[in-house]
Amino acid sequence: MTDPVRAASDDRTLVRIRGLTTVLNGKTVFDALDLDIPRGKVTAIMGPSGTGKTTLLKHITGQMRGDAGEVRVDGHNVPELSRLQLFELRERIGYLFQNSALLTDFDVFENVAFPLRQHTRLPEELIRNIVLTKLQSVGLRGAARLMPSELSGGMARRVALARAIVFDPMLILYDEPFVGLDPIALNQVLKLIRTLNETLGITSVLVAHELEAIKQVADHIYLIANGKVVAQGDPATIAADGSPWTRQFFGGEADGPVPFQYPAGDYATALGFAEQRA
Amino acid sequence: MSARPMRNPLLQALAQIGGCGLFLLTLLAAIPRSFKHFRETVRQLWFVGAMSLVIIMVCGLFVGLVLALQLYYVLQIFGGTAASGMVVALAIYRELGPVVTALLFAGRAGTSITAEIGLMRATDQIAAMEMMAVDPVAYVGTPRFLAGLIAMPLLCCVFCAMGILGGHLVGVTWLGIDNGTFWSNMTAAVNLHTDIVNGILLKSLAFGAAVSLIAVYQGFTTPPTSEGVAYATTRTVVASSIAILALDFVLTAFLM
Amino acid sequence: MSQRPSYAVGTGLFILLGFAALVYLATQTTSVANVHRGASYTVTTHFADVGQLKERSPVKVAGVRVGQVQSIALDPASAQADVVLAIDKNFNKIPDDSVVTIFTSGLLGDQYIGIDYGSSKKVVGDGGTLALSRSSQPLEAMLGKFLGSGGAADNLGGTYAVSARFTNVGSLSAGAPVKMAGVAIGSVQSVEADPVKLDAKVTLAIDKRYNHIPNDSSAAVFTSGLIGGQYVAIQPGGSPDNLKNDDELILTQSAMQLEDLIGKFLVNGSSSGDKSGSASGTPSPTPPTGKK
Repeated sequence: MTDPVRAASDDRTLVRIRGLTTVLNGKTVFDALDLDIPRGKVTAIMGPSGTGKTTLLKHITGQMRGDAGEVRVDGHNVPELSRLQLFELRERIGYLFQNSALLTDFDVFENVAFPLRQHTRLPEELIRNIVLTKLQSVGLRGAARLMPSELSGGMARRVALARAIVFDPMLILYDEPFVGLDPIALNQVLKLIRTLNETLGITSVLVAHELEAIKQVADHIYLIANGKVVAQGDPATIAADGSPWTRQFFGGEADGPVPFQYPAGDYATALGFAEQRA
Repeated sequence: MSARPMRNPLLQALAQIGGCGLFLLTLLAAIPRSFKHFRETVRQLWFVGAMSLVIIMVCGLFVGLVLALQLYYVLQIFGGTAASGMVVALAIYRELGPVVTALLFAGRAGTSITAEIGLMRATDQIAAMEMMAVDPVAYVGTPRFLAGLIAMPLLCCVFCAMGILGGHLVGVTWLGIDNGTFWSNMTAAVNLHTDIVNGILLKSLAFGAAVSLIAVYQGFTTPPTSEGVAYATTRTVVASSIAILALDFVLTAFLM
Repeated sequence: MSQRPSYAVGTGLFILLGFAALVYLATQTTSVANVHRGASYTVTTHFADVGQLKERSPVKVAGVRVGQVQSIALDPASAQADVVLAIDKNFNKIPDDSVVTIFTSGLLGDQYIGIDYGSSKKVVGDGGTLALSRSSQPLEAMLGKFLGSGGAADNLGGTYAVSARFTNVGSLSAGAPVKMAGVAIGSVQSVEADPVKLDAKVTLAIDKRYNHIPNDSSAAVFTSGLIGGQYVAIQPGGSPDNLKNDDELILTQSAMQLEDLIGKFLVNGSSSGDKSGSASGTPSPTPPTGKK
């Protein structure tokens, strides 16, 4: 699906975010965020919970729109796209949901075939071949006739991955792909992400917390906090970076720039000791 | 109910009606796009219509049985038991058929539509469709709406036929009203236009539209949590029932 | 893929079933069931009163539908309604002396035309006329029928008139049935006050078939049920001579007024025929009582 001519003519950046500002329910999620995702690489976006990593993915796919700034995906400014154009763009983007989001009405085969059936008029034979190829690549060809409810979490995620790549997209967004997986399943998914990136040249964006896993797979890491990029670089650089954010996040310290306390008024005042202190 | 802050209930109801109306436009606008999901409409027709068939048939039969029995005892006083076939038919065609079918339909199909869509939202299936460039309204909403619209009149016809059968069973087979009298009184009194077309088809079409619209709307707008889904399911039944009876009054006033 | 066809087939079956139910309801339980198709021939008949009869009302023989009313028009010369019936060609053996009657299906149903076959060898053809007809029965007669008084007997075979005198006829009016043994044998033709004798003279039209009523029979004004209409009951006597036209029934029992009844009950008095009464007596709900 990736257009080689355009890929060559464009620069090496697939997603370019400039000055993205988003305010949700009075809380500033992104504050003039700048972020570039290079083509053909695996980029990881990390950050404390609640910093809007998933929200960022939703901005890239146009499910949410920022209050200001631009999000360019393959040259298109996403917030300005019409619904139809957005749908055309999304056909070239794979999205792996945190909870897999398989359609419960269909079996594994039909789930993977779903985008094909919706967007193409391919003969049944061809659909079968494509689906079985994709299922083979995630190692679940034998599970083609199982229903989603019969799958384990890891298997469901691999099926969802097969579905996400059925159109050979230019970009795959992984929303927390490692959550809730045992070490074996985690490594299977890890290996798949790496393989897909290497064999198909698919640009991958990962949102995750698992530092060890990310170090193995990511080419580039962004650390987001307070609506800004606080650190970036390849895994080695970022680990060596001495900023307090990196130290706290990668060191896993309980308190630091990310406060232990949720913002609140003065503790003593809240407990009614204000007068005594005065 | 306690989950959400109490606002003015009147305003809340107005907002629901308004939202429902706007959503109807969205659903209708998605009809051309849902044509390519024709198979999904057929599948929904199976779930919404064919799966409701048993309950509709059983209830239709019992309504007919009870109606004939009650009428027999009342008409007996006036020596008018011969009219029971006619009254069973008219009561079922004009009121009981469409209304009871719609209420059952709201309970059986409406709730399952709401719960299904709500759960699809809760498990990100709707978002996944969005991401696969499939319009969820055209794929999930409109087929269910259309299926409800098509299924209701058909179910209502089945309900009415079972009701007549029930009435016949009690009236003729059990209580011994003459078979010919039963049918001739019925055929003499039932009018194709006012009773079948206006009574059964038009009413049940309107009820089908109302119930499936409410069900789909509640599914799409409820907070995608288990609590929200439970709440929306309840609301589907309540809102549908009110809508059915209110519409029934309006339609009766206009059509009869 | 294996699940798709089963859905489709099941859904198809469901739709078929629904439509079958609709077709069943529309054709078997509505007036469409009565819509006549096929070749027919027309027969004209005349009625003094067609009541609620409408065009396309069914025409039945022995309760079976054979055709429908094609048109209803008023004949200005005779002030009668000309009713044209379209009858199925299959039923072309209707004798020309058959009797055409306007019936009502049930108490509240539509009216229809019933044909009772006559005995003539000649059959009525296309454009023919059935001269013998019975008009729509007025509501009062219907009501009487409904409330169990049996209804007025038809006067097809002709009637003979018998008069009776009552000191009080209650709310008896012309058209009320005349019964013997609970069966209607005729109707009240007229009720009028006699200016000389100061009582009510009631003329009864009794069917000629019942011409063996003893001439010493008594006549009484009864009420059917508590709220029912009043009728004249004939209690046969023992005379060997029979009633003839223009005879008078001597033994009569007047309608009982409610006040009389109460009085009778309280003081064990009796309401005799001595009391003065009038033909235009007030409606008096009177339960049927035994003979005096």
